[in-house]
Amino acid sequence: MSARAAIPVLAAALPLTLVLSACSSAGAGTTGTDAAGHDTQRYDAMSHEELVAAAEEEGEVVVYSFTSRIATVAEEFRKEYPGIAITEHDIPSSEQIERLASEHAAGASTADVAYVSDAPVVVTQLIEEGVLLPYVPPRMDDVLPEEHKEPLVTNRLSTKVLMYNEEAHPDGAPVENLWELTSGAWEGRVVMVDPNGRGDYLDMVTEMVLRADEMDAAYQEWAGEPLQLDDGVENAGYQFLADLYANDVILVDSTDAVNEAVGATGQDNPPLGFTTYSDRRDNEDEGWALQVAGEVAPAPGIIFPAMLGVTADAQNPAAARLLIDFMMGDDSADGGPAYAPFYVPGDYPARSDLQDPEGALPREEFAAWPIDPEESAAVRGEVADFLLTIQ
Amino acid sequence: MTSRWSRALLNPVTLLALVVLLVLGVLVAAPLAGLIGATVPAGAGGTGTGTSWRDVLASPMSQNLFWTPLRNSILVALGTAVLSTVLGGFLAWVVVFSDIPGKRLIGVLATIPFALPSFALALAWTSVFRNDRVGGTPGLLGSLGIQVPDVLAWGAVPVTLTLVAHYFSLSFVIIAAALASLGGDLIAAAELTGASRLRVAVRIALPAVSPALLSSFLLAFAEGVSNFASPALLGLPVRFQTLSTRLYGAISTGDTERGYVLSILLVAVAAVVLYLGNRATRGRNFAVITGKSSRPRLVRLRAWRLPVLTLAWALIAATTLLPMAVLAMSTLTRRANSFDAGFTLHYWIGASDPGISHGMAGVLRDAALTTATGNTVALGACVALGAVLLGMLGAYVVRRHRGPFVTGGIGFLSYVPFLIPGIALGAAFIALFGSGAGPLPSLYGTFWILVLAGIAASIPYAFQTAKSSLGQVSYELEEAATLAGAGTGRRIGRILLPLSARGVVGGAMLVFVTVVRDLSLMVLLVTPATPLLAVQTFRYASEGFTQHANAVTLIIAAVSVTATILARRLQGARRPWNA
Amino acid sequence: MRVKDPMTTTQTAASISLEGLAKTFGGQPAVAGLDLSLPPGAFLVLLGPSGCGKTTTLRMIAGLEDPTSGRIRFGDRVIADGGSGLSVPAERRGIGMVFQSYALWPHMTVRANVEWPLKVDGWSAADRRARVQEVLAMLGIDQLAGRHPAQLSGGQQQRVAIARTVAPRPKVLLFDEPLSNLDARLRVDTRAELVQVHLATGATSVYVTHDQIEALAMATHIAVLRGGRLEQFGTPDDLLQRPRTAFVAEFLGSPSAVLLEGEVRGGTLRSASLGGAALAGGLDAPEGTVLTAMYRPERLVLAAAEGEPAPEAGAEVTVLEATPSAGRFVVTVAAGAAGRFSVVAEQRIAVGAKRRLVLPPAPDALFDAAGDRWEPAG
Repeated sequence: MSARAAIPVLAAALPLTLVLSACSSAGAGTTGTDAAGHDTQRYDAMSHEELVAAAEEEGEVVVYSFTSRIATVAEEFRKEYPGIAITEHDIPSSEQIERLASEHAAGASTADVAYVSDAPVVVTQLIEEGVLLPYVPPRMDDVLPEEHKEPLVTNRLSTKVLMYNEEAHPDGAPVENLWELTSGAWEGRVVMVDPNGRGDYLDMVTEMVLRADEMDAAYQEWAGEPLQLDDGVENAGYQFLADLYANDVILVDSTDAVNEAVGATGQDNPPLGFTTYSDRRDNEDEGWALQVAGEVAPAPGIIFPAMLGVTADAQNPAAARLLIDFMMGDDSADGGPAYAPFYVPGDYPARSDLQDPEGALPREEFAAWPIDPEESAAVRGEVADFLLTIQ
Repeated sequence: MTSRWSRALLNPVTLLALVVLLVLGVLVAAPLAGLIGATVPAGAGGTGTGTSWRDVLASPMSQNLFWTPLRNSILVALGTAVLSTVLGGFLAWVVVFSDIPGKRLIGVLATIPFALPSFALALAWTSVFRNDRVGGTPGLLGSLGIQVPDVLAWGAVPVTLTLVAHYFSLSFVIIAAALASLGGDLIAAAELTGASRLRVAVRIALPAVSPALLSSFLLAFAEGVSNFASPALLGLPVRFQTLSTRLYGAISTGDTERGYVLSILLVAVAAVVLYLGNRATRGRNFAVITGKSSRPRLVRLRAWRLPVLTLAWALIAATTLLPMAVLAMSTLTRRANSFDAGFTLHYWIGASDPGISHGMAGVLRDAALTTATGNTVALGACVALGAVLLGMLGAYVVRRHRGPFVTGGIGFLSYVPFLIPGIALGAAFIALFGSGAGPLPSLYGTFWILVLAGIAASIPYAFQTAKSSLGQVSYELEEAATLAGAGTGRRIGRILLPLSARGVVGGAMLVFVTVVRDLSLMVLLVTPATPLLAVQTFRYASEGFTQHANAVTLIIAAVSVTATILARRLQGARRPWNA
Repeated sequence: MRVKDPMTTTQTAASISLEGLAKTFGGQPAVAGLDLSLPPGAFLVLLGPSGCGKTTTLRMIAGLEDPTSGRIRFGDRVIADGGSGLSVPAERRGIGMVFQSYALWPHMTVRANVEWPLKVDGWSAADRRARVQEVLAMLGIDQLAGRHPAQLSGGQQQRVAIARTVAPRPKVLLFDEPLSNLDARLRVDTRAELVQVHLATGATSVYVTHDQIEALAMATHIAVLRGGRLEQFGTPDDLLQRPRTAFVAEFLGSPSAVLLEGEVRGGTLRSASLGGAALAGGLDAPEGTVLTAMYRPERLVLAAAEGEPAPEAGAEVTVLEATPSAGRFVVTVAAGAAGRFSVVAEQRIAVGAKRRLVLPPAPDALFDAAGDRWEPAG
């Protein structure tokens, strides 16, 4: 039984699939345009009251979410709008992106709202393809900075930043400059999730490349001399990554593994690691001593959006918009019960009128780089390729 | 010529072959074709850019993206396949032929590792061998002050060994079923020559079940090459990358096309292994269930009893009891993976407490748990039934059909689904059944699309077990039924199925366990209306609720073990004539 | 549902004819152009050494293989035609077959083994019960009905196999070396029983064996096959008395015929290996023609070897073994360059003794160098 023997079978199956997908995408195309065409503008222009009325008419709404905290949101939504049945799916971002794209292509039933991370991939695979549409609730017009309205509405910001063990280093972060991580002192003592395997970490290293000038300046500041680029290395960002990998950075498979490695109490010589700032709230529960190295130069890492979009094929376009509006939080200082699941120290509300949660650095003192999904999408492929050549 | 063709088409085996190929075409070949299409540039009939092939095979990245991971994958998969088959074969021989005490219990326990998620075995490994390379809390040996070298803590060795601990149990199920079909004559005749027991086991009993050894090797190889959890957990810290970690890495960082190229290459590697494996046993007859019957007999181990007993229980302790204990403990520790903070039943039965796990209540308080368990069992049962039926029919066609294209096609398509990434399989199913395109019904959002996807993903178990157990049934038994006037359906149902029941039930069990355990593609297809246990574990794990996730994993293991015990009962009941 | 009378013991037997029947496996001919025609109720033995195509022929009759070319008819009905690809499926040919390995279904009891074919054939429960009881009793195994095959001895398994085959009253009964797995004693007993079964059912039977004793004991017709070709087809007497080829002559008879090679010198066939002994005289054949003379073993005489024998008195042979058989002795001798053969003697002769071989005045048959029957011209 050889591969050769299977060729005729494949040859037979290929046209079948092509025909099938052709049929299905043809179907999808028509419905997509209908839903997305004139309707979009009509719903976008609705006032809150009109939206509620239309949503209650529709009677249901389906949401895909990359976080299971959506369950709590859904409960609050049910309390607020008992007439609208909300169905929540908990699907990780990369699966969600694939699922939304496939459903759109097949014209299959799909969600009304997508709550998704992995912004650069969302940009290229969903927004450019017209699978997801932005909706900015009218009441958010004034309170949401422009960068959080595009390409989709951002409801909160999460992080991938350098953290240390505050039990072992009670006087503050043991490093002041990212370039220290490439020195002998930290050889084999820096942990992060493999950027070739996880989108948010790839976004982080991509940002270092995009901010090559800042990285260059930081080197000068740390070493007291200008950075010499290796042959074939384009800029200071790439040079940092090359040096970090050469300094035996430890790659692991999950943020939890980083947290455990960096944060576990009782260590004499804990490593440093890039992880999620808000995981610090689990210190008590998990026996960790995680703390952010917030003042490290040029920046401790990145801050990136979790975004909300309406699907082009939404069956319940009004309810979809109502849910997005709901998930942006109410008018109280902490966003109220609808926003509560996301109001945690270490994550930051996208809205400028909400107070930063207590227990973490205020946003303005937190130097992490905000990413630009579109710019990031343009170069992250190159960065991933570069990393593959230096391992 | 026309009549010749129409007559050939009316031949039941040919008809069956067409049906099986059609089903496999939709379930496997179509997703595979989609996979290939996505890597071919739009100008050449595909939907991709086409540059991924060059990136993977001939670019400065190739070494780290493909060649080294390829070498690592083959190393790990070969090690897994060989060791799993050897250990599984050994335990199967102990349980079927030896006279050691407690062998029934060994028989049940030996099937458990397969039911555990591979991360549980990797976790068990780190709980003992973790050293200070990564930081964090050291493992048992480290905390005793023993320096564990990196080679034992991370990389090829632990990855291979944890996979073996996982998949030897698969080999055990397949080989035990085959050994149980050996008549006593074969063994007695060999013993009469004065050969030692070991010699009889190695030279007579095992070669007589070559098809089962081959099936076990092939399945363990495919599992070894496609497993993601073990190399990700134990390989990454020393940058030990396999094709599977590279493949999932590419997909989850948004470069699906490159991921698909890697998975197509993985399919090609598997096809080569399948071809070589089949060539090794081609043209030989392994029918041991013949029309001449004899009763099985036990081997008296005498002086070998203690060593064999010790070895068997050591294996069970290391692969079943330890991981189970680690998993169970991890649901009871207040802090994940740490015994210092004390123990609690909160993660099982506790009410919502804002101070613990962000207020997540214990898993047994989750109303969805019962529904999810019910759904999971129903799904597992339906998939097992469907996959076994398809696998049986496929294996029957391969047995009876002479055309190399037909048998090769069925063999290939039934082997590779492991290697198609779940995300690609899921996407293909959405494309095929999403809106009922063409002749296919719109099943999207229903329970049945999960069943179909489950069948597609688990057909390798069903087909390989059916093939190896059908290979044991001599042709004459079927021909005797033919001459008694029985048609194809009746022969399969009344003669072949009962005679291969041990292997087929074993296959059904493997399918059931796989479906229940973890099927990543379900995340793409599942709906809130049909919650599944595996998806729930995922939900907990993704939020860092380790204890909750492990508790659900333990429930899954319990469901799997129950199914295993039931299957063994059924196997016993199906063979009263020589039980 | 068809109505069957279980007590009827006869069923219309079918004639069987093979017309140019041939089968190739991967280009290798296994059976090459068989022609024979068998009357209803006959008992045909397909006889030949292993690899001669006899089992392939049987399997083509059964429908387990399809002919590459040629035709098989049951009565007037064509059931397989290699030319058109027509082939009545095996399950619809109304055939019963006893396999070499018995092919008992190990998961069924003896009763179920025998009953299942009847169930498949649509018999009513009551008819089935009666028929199973009848055939089990006929074969003397009714007390084993509740057992599984693994609990039976080889001979018992064989009887179950026979019972299962005859129960549905097939028009054609096929046997594939059914006795080869039994010990010598059981073989003789079962042979007689098989003939009884054949007579009782009246079915046209085809029986494959490489054992010519079985063939001669049971057959109404024998077809000797060699290398996929039919050497000779006829009654046992035909084949014994008038073998058409040296191969048939040597293959048949117990002990088998003695073949001695010679060369024609002056109209007389002389054997160089037997010291120039005359095998046959008055031959109208060219000088130097090589012919083989055939003698039935009972016609050769071993005389006392005294003094220096004249060439005409017969060649000297050495006795290798002497086996008692039906009141006489089969004596195997070594005859120098002429090789070993067996003759029938009235008395036991000590092993190692020297004897003179006395030939009758004329051989029973002559064969040419190709092994075909040689008749003097005119």
